[in-house]
Amino acid sequence: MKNEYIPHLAEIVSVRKETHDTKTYRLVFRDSGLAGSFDYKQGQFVQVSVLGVGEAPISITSSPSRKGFLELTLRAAGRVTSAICRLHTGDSVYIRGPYGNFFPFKELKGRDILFIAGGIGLAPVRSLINLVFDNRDAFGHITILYGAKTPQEICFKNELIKWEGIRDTSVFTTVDKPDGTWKGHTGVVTSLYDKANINSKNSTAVLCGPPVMIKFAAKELLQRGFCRPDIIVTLERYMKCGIGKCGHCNIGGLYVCTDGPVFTWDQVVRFPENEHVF
Amino acid sequence: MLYFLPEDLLNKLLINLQQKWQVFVPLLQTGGDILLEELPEKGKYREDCLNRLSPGSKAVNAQTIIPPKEVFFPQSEVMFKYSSDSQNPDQLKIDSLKDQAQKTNKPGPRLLFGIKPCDFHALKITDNFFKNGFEDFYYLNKSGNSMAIVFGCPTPPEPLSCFCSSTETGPMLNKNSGHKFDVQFIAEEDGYIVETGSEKGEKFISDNSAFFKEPSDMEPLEKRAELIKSNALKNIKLSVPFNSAVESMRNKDSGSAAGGAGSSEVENTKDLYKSIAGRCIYCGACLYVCPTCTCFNVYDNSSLRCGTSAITGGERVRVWDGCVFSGYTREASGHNPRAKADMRAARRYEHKLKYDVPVYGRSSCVGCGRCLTACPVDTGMSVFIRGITENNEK
Amino acid sequence: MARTLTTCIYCGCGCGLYLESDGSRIISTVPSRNHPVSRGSLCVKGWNSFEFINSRERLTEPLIRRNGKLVSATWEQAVGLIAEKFLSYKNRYGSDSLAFLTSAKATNEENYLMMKLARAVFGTNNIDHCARLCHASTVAGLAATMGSGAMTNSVDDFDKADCFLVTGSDTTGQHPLIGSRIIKSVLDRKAKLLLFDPRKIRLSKYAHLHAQIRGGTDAAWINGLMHVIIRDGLAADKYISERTEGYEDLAKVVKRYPPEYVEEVTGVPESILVEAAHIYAETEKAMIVFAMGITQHTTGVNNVKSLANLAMLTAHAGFPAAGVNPLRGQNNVQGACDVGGLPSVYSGYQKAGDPAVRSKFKKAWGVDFLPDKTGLTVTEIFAHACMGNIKGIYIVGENPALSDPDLNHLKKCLKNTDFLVVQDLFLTETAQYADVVLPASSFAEKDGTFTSTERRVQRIRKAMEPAASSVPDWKIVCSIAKAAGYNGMEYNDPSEIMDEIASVTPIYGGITYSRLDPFGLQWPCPDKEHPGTPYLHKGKFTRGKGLFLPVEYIPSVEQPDDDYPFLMTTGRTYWHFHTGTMTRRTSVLDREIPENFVELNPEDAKTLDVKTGSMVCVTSRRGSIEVKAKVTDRVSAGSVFIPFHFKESAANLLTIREVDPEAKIPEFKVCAVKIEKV
Ligand SMILES: Cc1cc2nc3c(=O)[nH]c(=O)nc-3n(C[C@H](O)[C@H](O)[C@H](O)COP(=O)(O)OP(=O)(O)OC[C@H]3O[C@@H](n4cnc5c(N)ncnc54)[C@H](O)[C@@H]3O)c2cc1C
Ligand code: SF4
Ligand code: FES
Repeated sequence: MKNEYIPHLAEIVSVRKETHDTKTYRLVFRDSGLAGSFDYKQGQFVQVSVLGVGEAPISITSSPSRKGFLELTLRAAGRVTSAICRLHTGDSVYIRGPYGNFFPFKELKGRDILFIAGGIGLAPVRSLINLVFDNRDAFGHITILYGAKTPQEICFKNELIKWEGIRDTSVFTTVDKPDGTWKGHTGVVTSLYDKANINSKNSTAVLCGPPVMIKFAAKELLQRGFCRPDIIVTLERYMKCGIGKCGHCNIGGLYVCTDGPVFTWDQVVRFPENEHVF
Repeated sequence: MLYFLPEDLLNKLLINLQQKWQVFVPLLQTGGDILLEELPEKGKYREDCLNRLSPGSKAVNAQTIIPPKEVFFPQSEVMFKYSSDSQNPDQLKIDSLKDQAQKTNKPGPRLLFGIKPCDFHALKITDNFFKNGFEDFYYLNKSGNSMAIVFGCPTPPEPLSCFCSSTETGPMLNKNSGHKFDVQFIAEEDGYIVETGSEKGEKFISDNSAFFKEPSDMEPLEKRAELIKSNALKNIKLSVPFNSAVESMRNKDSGSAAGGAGSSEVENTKDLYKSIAGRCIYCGACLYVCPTCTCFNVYDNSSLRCGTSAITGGERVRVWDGCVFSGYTREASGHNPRAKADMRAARRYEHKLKYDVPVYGRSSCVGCGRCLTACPVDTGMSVFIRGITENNEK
Repeated sequence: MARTLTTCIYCGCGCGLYLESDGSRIISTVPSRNHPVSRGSLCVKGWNSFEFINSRERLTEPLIRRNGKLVSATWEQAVGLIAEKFLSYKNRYGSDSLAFLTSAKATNEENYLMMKLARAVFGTNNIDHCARLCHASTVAGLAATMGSGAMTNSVDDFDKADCFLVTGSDTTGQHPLIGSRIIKSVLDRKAKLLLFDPRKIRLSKYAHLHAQIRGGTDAAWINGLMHVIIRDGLAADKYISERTEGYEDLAKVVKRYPPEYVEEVTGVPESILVEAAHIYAETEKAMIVFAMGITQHTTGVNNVKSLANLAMLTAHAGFPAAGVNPLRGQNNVQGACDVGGLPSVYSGYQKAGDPAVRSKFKKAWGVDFLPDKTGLTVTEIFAHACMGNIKGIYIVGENPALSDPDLNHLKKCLKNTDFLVVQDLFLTETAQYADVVLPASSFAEKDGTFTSTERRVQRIRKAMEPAASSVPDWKIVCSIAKAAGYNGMEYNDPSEIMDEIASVTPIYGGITYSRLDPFGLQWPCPDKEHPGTPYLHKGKFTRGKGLFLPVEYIPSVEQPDDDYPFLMTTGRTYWHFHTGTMTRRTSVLDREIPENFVELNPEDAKTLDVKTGSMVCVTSRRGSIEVKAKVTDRVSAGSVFIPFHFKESAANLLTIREVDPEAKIPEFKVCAVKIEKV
């Protein structure tokens, strides 16, 4: 019987600093067999261990279309994430997974996609964004709305610029609190809706971010004619096992780690704790 | 099939069973309490244990404080160990799993001897839970090839807080009621009527045929068994409208818009959650003692180099946890979807009475009554069920 | 899988539980259903009390400081060094250059041996323990008025009383299995709860009335209650004349505390005071319940005397379900006091100053000399170490570097101590200052007895072999005695020590291990036939007549002022125990409250412009800490509360060293601070 709780050694091959407390790590499994067989889908996550400190669920931010490595973006939020953020190229972590369901891909073909992300919430969405761009012709118009607290806290800065340059794609970034140098938009993400001229027709929205952001972003999408199944969110919950056993992530009859983290808004409104999830 | 085991052969049977099985039995403890323990392989301590189980004593008829889930899912267990790499002392690595397995794997499949019908039903639920989806190595490694010898309850065990006739999980297992089991013992004055319910059960009897008498005439044995069973049912002291509680839970949701919020029934249920939360002192007992609660926390227990914070090795451990604790769902951002105590009370009752029903085909409350017994402020499933069904009548 | 019945290591409730060992680790805790206190339940700390035992941070070997660093040593080296050093200090500077801090976490047997070590082997009365910091005022106050410094009733009485006057006790948090009985009594039996507490603690939800008193004004409102009781003719005249003395003095003093004045001083509205006085006086089965909120003041002894006065005035002592009930915080703080871990008394509160007592112990211990001078208390010991009078300190199972007041000063004292020995499970904040660190075995690894708050002497039983090369405290103490040349401390097992305690301690006279199975006996238990005592002062007070000792209200030493405008109190949370040495090494408990906080009233938070989660800097005249704000109406405007569990931002850096003149207990509950947003 496989022991799903045993993680595997992975080496950090590069580190990119995103913001003062957020970094993106590129990882490669030490075991070459595993390196070849580790297959994941857009929106899935892994459990990352620092032995002696603990384990935390982290989304895979790289696209499954780009093989041979794994990218994770982490914000130092607590013990494990801070311990990882102290590591450098050449250090290693332990990884198990991939876990969870994933963003639809084939189903989105031919449609417009609206990505809405806040803060580090861009990390899981980025996996799908890059997958979509690697199959650019299969999709309609792509809109990316991204919000951060301050200009310093914008993640994936270079990529946002790169995406903007891709055809039939619009990218809008906003911050809550601008500084002297900020020339872009100011305000919450929903304040970009008009500017981006969003349209519910033949369109799917993909959301990830802090609970309040998701709540308001979805509410306004509904007002603008999106129907519930066309709003897709990926959720965070406190997780320990990632495989539907420890119970921490449970909402009603669902486990966010195995039935999620990706849900449609139609599912979300049925959560028993709906009024508290966001 | 029915057989008979004379009382004076019980201990000998247990010793014989040890050849093939790791045998777990309920034992009378220093404080007069009953707990499951592994029967030692030999020696004076085994004698002592067998004395503490002697038939007719409370040991067989009383309820273990902790349900048998602990045999496969102990309160705390080491998942794996790690230590610093001999070549690179700053790097920790997981110790060879083969060596670890050799140390933790005990010989022989596990035999739970003398568990109650309600607990037997619960084990089926936990077996299922740990098997479904990703397999849980630690539970299944211990439960694989295990078997349960159920002892029916002729009279309900103290402190009479169980309600198995309401949950249809006891007091005796009945083939007619669709109960699937291997072997059930029904205590009589001078021995046990032994009932098999499966081929595995038959094999158990034939493997130990020296102990079990096969009566030439079944009828008297059948009659006696039927009589004990029907008396057992009459002896049950506590009965609650379980099915109507499950039915009413099916139709409502504590928070969701889809569940018809605002209706008086839903409001009543919310009040009930609030009043339960208002008593709760967050000890976690109701979850720890529940035979179908399986939540756990995971942490790293590390050794440090003397006087420094440098980790030199350690172990990853899992330990029972529960949805009654606020930190159980608090995310790293500080956001907590179940920050309010009544949401957590709701979680517990809805999980047992509502969400598990479609998954297991029955509620995951088996009526053992332990949550009430262990609660320092006298709340428990039976109290909740009364509350919610009374509310509905209002 | 083997189970061992034992007693919880945390609070004074004394719950009975089973530990399960797999040979190398303790893997579970299970409550005993038959235990008279726990009755099948435990609080969350009890349920998880096995986890710290398995911590990989346990000390594994003795350590000796060499060139400034603690390095591993053998037991022979460590014990030899201690004996040699202590003897040399004794010879050069006299016995009183040594001091011993025994432990409310250790067993009765171990505490008894510690006092024997201090008194018989090294000839000093400088022995004390953390009771000094919690209930020293209770022991003094109740002994003076009633003759016995312990809880008068039993835990079972909480199921029978019809009125609880709870003050200065966050009962659901600190004594959960007593708190739960109060909750049940109020909700299910309609008992009345009268709560006098500055904070809106959990119990306030169930209180019939909650008087949110200004911290440190206890004598005033208690006198106010008595004023109303006498004024309205509710005093128990017959009881007073038959069973007490000194009533006239009391009446004179409380006359000066009319409700209007009390309201001004304490903030308790007149109507509430009067209603409380009536309910308490008119209910036959009424229990006073108190803890640190009463005792941890410079007026601690006075506060306790006041409560005793109140109970005697209304005939609420000497009966079941009516009495004065100090809730003892630690699993064995009652026992550590009982067996003489105090500078003024031997076991059973026999006075060290009494020549008859000394000659009895000389004979029993086979020594020629026992000191007569009262020894130093915890707070004095450190002060003297600072001045250089105390050269060697032996600390067992205590963590003063986090639990004592004014830590900056205390750390200076620890540094100044020539030779410091610390015996513990972990390398605590205190152990980091030690010259020798001794690894002790946990409660799961030894036999012994604890005495719970209801005076129940009960067994702890060995569930596992000592971890690594740790050794049970009693064996360590014996080996030090032996190395110091004393031969009167050799025992095969702790039951022999208990036999010795019984032979020299009247209140424990009837206690033997065989009688303690399964759930113990409540002292006084003077002889082998005595069934134990569920409640004290039956028929007559231990001291004969109950003595009214009137007290005046004296304000706390440090009042808020313009520079330090907030009144700070310290305390604990439900999830953690004291300095967190054990609970912060327990995953679920640590997860619930991973970091420190300061409770701030919403009004104050608004003025300071802080929200829950903002960092603030809290400063007193003695120190300063940074801590996260928690905005809540649990505290009233102008007051703040900080738990003292967290070493990262230790609340005791701020507290004041000022002590009660009689009991020498520090004023943990009141000091003045200022708060700034960072
Ligand atoms: C499916 C899923 C995907 C996720 N993907 C990502 C991702 O891609 N990137 C990412 O960064 N996160 C991601 N998260 C969130 C991430 O898992 C959490 O931030 C992480 O589990 C926190 O673990 P920790 O051990 O670092 O925090 P913990 O130590 O458990 O911290 C929890 C709490 O402890 C307190 N705390 C403890 N130590 C400190 C400290 N030093 N400073 C301040 N507070 C402290 C805080 O109050 C905090 O709320 C994801 C979560 C889920 C469920
Ligand atoms: S109430 Fe006290 S003695 Fe009882 S389990 Fe909790 S900490 Fe232990
Ligand atoms: S994270 Fe353990 S069940 Fe989902």
